[in-house]
Amino acid sequence: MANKNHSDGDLKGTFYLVMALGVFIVVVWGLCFGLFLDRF
Amino acid sequence: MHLHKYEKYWLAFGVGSLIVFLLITGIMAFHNGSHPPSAKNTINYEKVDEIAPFNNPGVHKVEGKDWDYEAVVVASAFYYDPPILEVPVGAKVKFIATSKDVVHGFEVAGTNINMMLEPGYISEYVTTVDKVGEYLIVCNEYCGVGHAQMHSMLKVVEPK
Repeated sequence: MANKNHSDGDLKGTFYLVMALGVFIVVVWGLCFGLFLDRF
Repeated sequence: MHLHKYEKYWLAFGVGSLIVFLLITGIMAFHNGSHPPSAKNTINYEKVDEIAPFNNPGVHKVEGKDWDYEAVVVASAFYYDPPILEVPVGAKVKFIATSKDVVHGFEVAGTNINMMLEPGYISEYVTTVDKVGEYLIVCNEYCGVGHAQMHSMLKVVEPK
């Protein structure tokens, strides 16, 4: 159990960074797609 | 294979994002008919001036088609014929263009209209011009010493 908690803690920072990067990519993609839809 | 719960979360996020992007691409292509400009029609580039519709470049009102106007453009080093295109706002326009010599570009800045014009091929793009304004048309394929001066104008105006 102690090992499991230790492992979770090690990956928490990585997890937040990966999710933040993913959200950033999705948001930028969404903005570009919105620009495409807005233009004729 | 053991997967950590965080690995499962970001794998799910990644796979989910991929599925969403593919769905949007599929819907845009097959439902909304959004395709790259086509160049499936060919033409003798040495006789462009004699072949319809390029023997009469300009904007023409058409009847009985899925679009209201046809904007016919002939590109050659280093100008577009006609130099100005004028269409009424809200009209569905089919842009039909080709090149008489080398590869040129046809990009209407600030819009999604962006075609490569190749000698021997006819490029087409259909869109509804829904914003009034003057849009610079530029060549975005390097075509020679006059490339930087090769431009034209699309005017979207209120209907008369």
